[in-house]
Amino acid sequence: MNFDKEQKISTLIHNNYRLIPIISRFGINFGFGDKTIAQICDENNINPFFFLEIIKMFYKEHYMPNKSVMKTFIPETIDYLLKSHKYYNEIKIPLIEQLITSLFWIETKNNVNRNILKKFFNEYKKEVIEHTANEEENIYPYIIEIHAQYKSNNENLNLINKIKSQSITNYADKHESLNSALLDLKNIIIKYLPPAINNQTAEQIVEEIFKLEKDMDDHTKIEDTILVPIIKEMEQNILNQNNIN
Amino acid sequence: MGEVKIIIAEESYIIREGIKRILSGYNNICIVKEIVNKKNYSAEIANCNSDYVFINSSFFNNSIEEFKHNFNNKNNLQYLIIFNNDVDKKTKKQFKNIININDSLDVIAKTLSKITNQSLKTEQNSNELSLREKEVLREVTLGKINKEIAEFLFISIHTVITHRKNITKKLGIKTVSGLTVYAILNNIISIDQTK
Ligand SMILES: [Fe+2]
Ligand SMILES: [Fe+2]
Repeated sequence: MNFDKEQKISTLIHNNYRLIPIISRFGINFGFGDKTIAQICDENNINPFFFLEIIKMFYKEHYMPNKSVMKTFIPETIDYLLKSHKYYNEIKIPLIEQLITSLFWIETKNNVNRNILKKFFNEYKKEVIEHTANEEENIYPYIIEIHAQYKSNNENLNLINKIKSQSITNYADKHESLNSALLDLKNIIIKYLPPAINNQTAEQIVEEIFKLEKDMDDHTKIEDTILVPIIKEMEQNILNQNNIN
Repeated sequence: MGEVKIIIAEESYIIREGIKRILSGYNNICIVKEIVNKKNYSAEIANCNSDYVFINSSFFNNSIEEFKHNFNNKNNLQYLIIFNNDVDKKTKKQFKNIININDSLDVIAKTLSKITNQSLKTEQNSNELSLREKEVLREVTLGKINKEIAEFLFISIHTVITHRKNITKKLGIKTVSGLTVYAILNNIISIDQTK
């Protein structure tokens, strides 16, 4: 696989269909014929270099996007992360929820199995909502602010106080993976629940969870290993410019 | 026997890693030392507390005399001799417990189980929760914290933590709500007991 601007989008997808939700997050929809990355990006106002970094990260398990490239795409990155939050909260989680609701077993009273699964998933859903809301309300705006300040040179005492009190390090320390519960859910369905009558639905749930897990892993990787170190550096830079250590 | 302590004396990195890979399939094995060259190897073996020594025959130049002279079975140690491809059958026959580096995994597993009197434990037959672990699981899913569980079961907090780690490892479930689901499905608690 070549990862360059001249690669066709359709080839990318034939190689790994799981790319579909990723490209749709960029606003790219089906019907792209034989267009290349360069053409599609041009039409959709996407920076092709940024696009390629995200795609490569998705394709190659241990790929680390170039920090100095990503540094120039902070607003794009945040926009991408926001769209993935939306995708989790509005599409994937409701889909899994609905699939769980439609599971049924033959001999249980009051659908015990389904109810405990639903309860478990509901807690997970709340956890995701809280997690993403915190990032959207507090963390991402702060990152945008730091990035803007880094590019301008005006004095901004307000922001300097913020850096001192709520530096990105605080976020990094507390930032948790949302995947433990998904892993548990997979094992509960695969190993411990009696087989459901509509077992295909259970299979579908497990497949959806695997996909969501991978997607969220990449998402967390962007937050932890790209954004955090870049913002840390920018914070330090802003403090230095104002002669504060 | 609980833990089985093993010394590996083998110059080849590839073979050492291969042996470790095979041994990692047993969960009560502890590799206490790796000896990677021949210098002072017999003293190194004597100075280390272990149950078994896996040693390449090249360490004693494939000679039974040299082997007996060096070891003379001190400390009740058991030996497993590893033979490279270049050693002839007659030499190998003089030794009791042997493996050849091109033996299949099956043959190696049989040899291991023979010399250890089946004291090696594999993961599969220990995935069942013990009674104690079920008790700890029950208290965890009832919402108790480690300190409360320790007091309730008259064990130390450290022991509670160890039990919890083992439970998670055995079940593949990490979160408290996941454990709760497991406990309900297996009648360790009833659904009414959960909040
Ligand atoms: Fe996020
Ligand atoms: Fe996050």
